[in-house]
Amino acid sequence: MSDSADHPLLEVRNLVTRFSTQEGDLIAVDGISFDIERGQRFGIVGESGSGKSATLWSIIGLIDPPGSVVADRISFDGVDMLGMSREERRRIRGSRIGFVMQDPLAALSPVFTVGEQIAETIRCHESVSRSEAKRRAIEILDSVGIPDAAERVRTYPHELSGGMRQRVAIAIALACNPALVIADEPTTALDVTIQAQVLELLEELCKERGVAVLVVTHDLGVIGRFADHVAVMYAGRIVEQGPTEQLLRSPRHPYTEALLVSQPRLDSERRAELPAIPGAPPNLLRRTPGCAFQPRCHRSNGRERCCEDDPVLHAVEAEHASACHFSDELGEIGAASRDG
Amino acid sequence: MTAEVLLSVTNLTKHFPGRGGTVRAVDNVSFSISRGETLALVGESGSGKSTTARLVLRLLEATSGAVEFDGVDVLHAGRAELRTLRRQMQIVFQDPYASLDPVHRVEKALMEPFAIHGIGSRHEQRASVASLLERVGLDPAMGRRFPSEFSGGQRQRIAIARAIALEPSLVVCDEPVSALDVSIQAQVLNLLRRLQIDLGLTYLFISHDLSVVRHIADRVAVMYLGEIVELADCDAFFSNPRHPYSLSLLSAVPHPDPVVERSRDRIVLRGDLPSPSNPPSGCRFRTRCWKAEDICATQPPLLAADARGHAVACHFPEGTTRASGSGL
Amino acid sequence: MLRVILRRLGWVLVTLAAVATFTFFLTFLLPQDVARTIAGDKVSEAEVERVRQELGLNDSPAIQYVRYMGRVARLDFGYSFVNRQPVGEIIAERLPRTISLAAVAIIFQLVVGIGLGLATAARANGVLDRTTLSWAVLMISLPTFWLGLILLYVFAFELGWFPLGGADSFSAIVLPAITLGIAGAAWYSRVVRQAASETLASDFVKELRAKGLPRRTILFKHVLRASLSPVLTMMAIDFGFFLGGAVLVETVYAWPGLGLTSYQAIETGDTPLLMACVIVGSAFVLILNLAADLVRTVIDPRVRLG
Ligand SMILES: Nc1ncnc2c1ncn2[C@@H]1O[C@H](COP(=O)(O)OP(=O)(O)O)[C@@H](O)[C@H]1O
Ligand SMILES: Nc1ncnc2c1ncn2[C@@H]1O[C@H](COP(=O)(O)OP(=O)(O)O)[C@@H](O)[C@H]1O
Ligand code: SF4
Ligand SMILES: [Mg+2]
Ligand SMILES: [Mg+2]
Repeated sequence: MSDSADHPLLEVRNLVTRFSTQEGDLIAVDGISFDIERGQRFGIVGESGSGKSATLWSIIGLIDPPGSVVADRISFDGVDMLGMSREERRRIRGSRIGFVMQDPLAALSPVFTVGEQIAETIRCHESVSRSEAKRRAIEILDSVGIPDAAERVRTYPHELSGGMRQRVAIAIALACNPALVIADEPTTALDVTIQAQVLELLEELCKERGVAVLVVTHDLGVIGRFADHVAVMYAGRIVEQGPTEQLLRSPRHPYTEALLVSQPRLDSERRAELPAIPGAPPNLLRRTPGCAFQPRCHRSNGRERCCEDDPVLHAVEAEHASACHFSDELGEIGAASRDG
Repeated sequence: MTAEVLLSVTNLTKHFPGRGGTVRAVDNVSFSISRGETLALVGESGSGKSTTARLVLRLLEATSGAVEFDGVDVLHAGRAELRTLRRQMQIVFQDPYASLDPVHRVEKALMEPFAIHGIGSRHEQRASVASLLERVGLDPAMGRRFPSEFSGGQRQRIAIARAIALEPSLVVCDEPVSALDVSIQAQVLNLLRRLQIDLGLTYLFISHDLSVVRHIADRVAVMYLGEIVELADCDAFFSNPRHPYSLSLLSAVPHPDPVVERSRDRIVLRGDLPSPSNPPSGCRFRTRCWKAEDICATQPPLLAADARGHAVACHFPEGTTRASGSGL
Repeated sequence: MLRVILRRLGWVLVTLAAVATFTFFLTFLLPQDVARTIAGDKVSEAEVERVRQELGLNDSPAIQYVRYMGRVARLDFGYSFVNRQPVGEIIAERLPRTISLAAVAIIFQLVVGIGLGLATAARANGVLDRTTLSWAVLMISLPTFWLGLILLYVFAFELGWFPLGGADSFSAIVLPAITLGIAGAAWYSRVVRQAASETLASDFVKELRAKGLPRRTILFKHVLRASLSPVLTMMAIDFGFFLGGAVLVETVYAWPGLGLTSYQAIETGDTPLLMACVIVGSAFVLILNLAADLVRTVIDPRVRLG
């Protein structure tokens, strides 16, 4: 294994994912780059269709034709994943990188018991006996907070509640002690009280096992609650990126800012009209020149640069980057802009 | 406040027979809504919100209880009466993709309510559709298109247009923004708010999202396993929630500001919603409640209001001492 | 579970009784003088009347019915009109032939159908996929009878690889089994392909890939199992039909099983034998249907026996 000090756990450089469709090439992910450090809790936030899932599937090499992935670099633990053979990449999936999907009922096989599904993962990556795999399955179920784990290994997914199923999915992701767990909207299908449980569980796992977690969500609340670093995606690009606290308290991109103020919150002042974002996300098949957010942007005011020049992600502060020409015009969301 | 009561629901109950025993989806639920008001029904999925809505609209027959709408006994209304009632009570569903027939032009979907009730000539119906589309913020020319050509937010606008077509007095909104993208939710909430003011609508607004509820509701009813456990004015509820379940719901909503998030007292409930076919004895929440004592297992707490009309069904509600000392 | 099975078995018996009743009354509608058939054309009317008396054919239909059902309940199907052998004996002699033919045909059908189904699902729209599609369409539209004759002509008559008929050698089973199973194999391959393609596109296969399972494990363990349920139901039903008597195939190949027996029974107007064939055949169809449902509950724990 390579020296862990000098490179991040996951390095993504200029990732482009496209799907060829009947209506033409759809660029789902348009040249994004980011790093995830060991043990970090990294969040990607964006509305549906912004390319979050495509990014995740690209990283683990599971984009199927008609999709294609190109990147300058996708490296995991210092090893280039793009240059790997299919077989080498398969061996990383499930062992070094665990994956949790949005809907645990759809993601788990209906015809095998929970224990069989965990044991299967272990046995496909490590040469251990059936009984040893089963013992570890019980242990891991116990560690994700499933009561009576020794009994529950024998149940089928449909016999469990939604929250329990998501815990099982997390158990599968953790089965081989990965360094990175990728979770695609892990709480979207769950009720708030169960969401709180699952987020707490993921947080504990990070702390206790030192696992890095990449969480994708459309909910800024989940980001604020869970992530220490965040990337905001819009129309296939990262439009803003930075430490969570800094980014959410003083966003430097109008999209982030608008998302923050347009959503009602438990502590915002109640008012008749929410400052909604007008319009809808752009059609990815027909990219227009200039900033993709321009038609909906409250800061652009039709300025020429927004309509003509593609804004690039640039540093606005240490570790904090924005892809807005006028990022300097944005500052802390004070009481004024947040509440009135 | 002595506003006129538009809808009053008394001891409404719905039991579904099932394999694993009777599912008590809605159990002895009572509330009323004044004209022009928004009552929000909140709770986890499976708590009986949608069933309550369907009972009120009589899309489902109740097991027992009473629903009175504008002086009419809804549960015993005859065919003709029901027809009139249906004009005055409308519903908007969560999934805008399922609620519109994909093979009909939007115009046709919107003309349907007029056609069913035989209102106006075809020409007049067309004109009404155009003004409806405008009213919900869509281009009237879009009526010629098919549902598949619209985004989720636009479809929800169309569903709303259809609901308000016959100028109802009550609109039930069953999770109207839950399926929409975050950047679209605010648009639809604004639209609902404006229509309420313009048309004097009364809303029964169902949601699991407390931030949305706080924004839109005048009063809040919290449901748990088929029962209402807390019912209060919006401000009172959010500033001074009294049922432990309400507290835990509020604390589970994550906040986008990490600083705020860190400083909050977090209550993370253990376990899941128990089975509605075999609810716990006494207080149904007791299996997940951190305040539960022996009495909670034996004595079902009654929904009791304090002097200000803040009702809670708990043996040990929060903040009992200050105002009136009632509730215990 | 046991209760449900017993209840379902009860229904099988009720249905069989209905079938027996139905076939019994059908014999009254046939324009056939049974006594004359048995006695032969050349005997006197008095002799025919004696046979009629002996068989109780002069009694009222109600009495005949009760007597008949009583015997069927004891699995006593009477004597063949043609050679006066007990029908039970004839069936017992022919049944093993039919079982072996049905079993070989079903195995052929399953192995070929599932194999091709998985292979074509794994490479949708490839050459194999398109070839099996045309084959399936052809097989499903081609009458079994014709196909049997063609195979018989080419492989037995012209090439002489297989015997022309009968059940004397082991190789004799090959052609009838293929003829019987080939349409089903084509049909199964499409059903499996459909189910397997859906499974391959589903979230749970994505999850399996994300877990790092090798492709063949995904295909042969998970996709196969998820696609098996519709085929197993169909298989049990087909097996029931094959056992009930593949009349055309057995006739073409002179395979001495239940099918050929029923055909001969129709030809000779051997009513007791025909009725026995129908009842035994129906029993197989019904019992295997029940078996199919049982198997489904084992394969997919979400399915409950109702
Ligand atoms: N298999 C596919 N074929 C064609 N287009 C796809 C496919 N998968 C995703 N897309 C498109 O890529 C874009 C990004 O999708 P996705 O990554 O799933 O977004 P998100 O996860 O942020 O909701 C969307 O416009 C979607 O329609
Ligand atoms: N038609 C039905 N038959 C049986 N049970 C039902 C039916 N509809 C709803 N239920 C049950 O009633 C309970 C309440 O459901 P619902 O009203 O849909 O809850 P909510 O809208 O709060 O999520 C659930 O346990 C649900 O399974
Ligand atoms: S570049 Fe212009 S349009 Fe884009 S976000 Fe900045 S101000 Fe808005
Ligand atoms: Mg996604
Ligand atoms: Mg509902």
